[in-house]
Amino acid sequence: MKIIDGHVHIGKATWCHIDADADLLIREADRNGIEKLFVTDFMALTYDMAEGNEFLRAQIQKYPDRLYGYYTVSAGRFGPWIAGQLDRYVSEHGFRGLKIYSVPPLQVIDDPYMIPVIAKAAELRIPILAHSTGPECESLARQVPDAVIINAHMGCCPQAQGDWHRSIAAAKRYPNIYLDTASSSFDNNMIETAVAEAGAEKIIYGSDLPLLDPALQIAKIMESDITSAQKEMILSGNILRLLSLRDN
Amino acid sequence: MIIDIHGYFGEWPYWPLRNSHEAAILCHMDRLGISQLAVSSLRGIFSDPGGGNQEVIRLARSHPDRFIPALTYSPYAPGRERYGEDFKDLPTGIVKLFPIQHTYDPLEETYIHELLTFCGEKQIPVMIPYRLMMSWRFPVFDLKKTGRLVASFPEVRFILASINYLAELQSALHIVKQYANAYIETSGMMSFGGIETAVRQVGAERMLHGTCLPLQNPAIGPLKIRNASISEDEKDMILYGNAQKLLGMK
Repeated sequence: MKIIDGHVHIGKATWCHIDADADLLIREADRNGIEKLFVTDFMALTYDMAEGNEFLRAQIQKYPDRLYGYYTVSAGRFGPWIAGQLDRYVSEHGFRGLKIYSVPPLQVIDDPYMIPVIAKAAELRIPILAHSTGPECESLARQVPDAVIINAHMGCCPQAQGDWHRSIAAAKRYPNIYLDTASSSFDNNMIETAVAEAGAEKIIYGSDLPLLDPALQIAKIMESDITSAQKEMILSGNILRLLSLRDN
Repeated sequence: MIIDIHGYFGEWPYWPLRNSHEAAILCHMDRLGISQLAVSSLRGIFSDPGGGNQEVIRLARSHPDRFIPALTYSPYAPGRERYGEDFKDLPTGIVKLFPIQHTYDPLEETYIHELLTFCGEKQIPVMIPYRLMMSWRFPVFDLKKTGRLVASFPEVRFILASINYLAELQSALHIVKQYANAYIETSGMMSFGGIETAVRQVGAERMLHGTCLPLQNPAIGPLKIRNASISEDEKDMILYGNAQKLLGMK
């Protein structure tokens, strides 16, 4: 079964003891049968957007058919500069998405400063991977109805307190909210409930490599009580469809 | 062979749980090659430890080759005086403590000290879950307190359970490294390289395979051990060998 990983990290992060480069990502991708990876940079997320996204661009060039970039934003409060950079990285360097990160009160996404960035992503027809809660995604979806928002970790992160039910409800209510499966949570019936309530077409496989183990994250999908066709959608079909929006 | 040191059965108050009763749990175990499961009653955690323990004992007696009783006691709940009676005729078993759900501080409770002394004398391992299952929804128990219990009761073998990654894994491994009577189970370890890190720091002989079924998808449990870059001997130790020794099954 084809596997495309919609949520992978590169770079240095002190808080999670990681120092990863493209070679590590490809090595683990090959070990796990992952064809392509969509990558966000840790330094851009936690320290310096300019340097981090530039590092990501250079690393992606080592494996241009395997690695794709999310332009990564640490905080919308740096102003209109960000939307311009997003445009440049997508138009000139082939980045395929936007990554945003909610750890209030320092990194806030449901915020007037972030809306122009979200709107730019919608204009560029690229998906937004949002480490956030279900309600935050709902707020962004209401304010920018053309945005395609992927609720990273489907609520299973400390900020969202593991509340995948709330994230599923958001994806059910809003046609432009999707769910990404990368997380430490392997709760009984979680994937099955997401498929039943939001639809398999709204769910995107992600691993959070190199923080989490992609083999276990793949097993989370493969060992769920859903059909083969649904697994295929989650593991590759849905992310490919979202990424083709820009091409069409 | 696989022994699962960390499982449950019963009702779940937070969302519909699939396959959480006896027949379904046995199906899970058969599918995954889990020969034996140390199992607790969810009734014992949320409502009635005494009643829950009786459910566990009945279950273990009806499938003595499949279920290992994991009994829980609270200083403030019915059944607390029964631990001697409960373990008298059981071939093996463990005690699980849930100080958060049962609302007490084990460092301060004389009852818990007496229970731990009993467990030390009878060689009954004691599991203290850091959290109920690996989910960010659940409050966590202070690992420093777990460490103090481990240090204060050197005759008791303690199992630290539902530990995930980063600081909590480091703190748990620190306890296991410092104290020969501490072990760690794997149901909550989800990080890239987590199993390898634990083996490197404390040795495979201090690790026990767990799934937290049916609260978590149990297929992940054995997979993370089998996939780990450790030796086959180390995998066997974690998957069943250490549990056999700890439970006096060999």
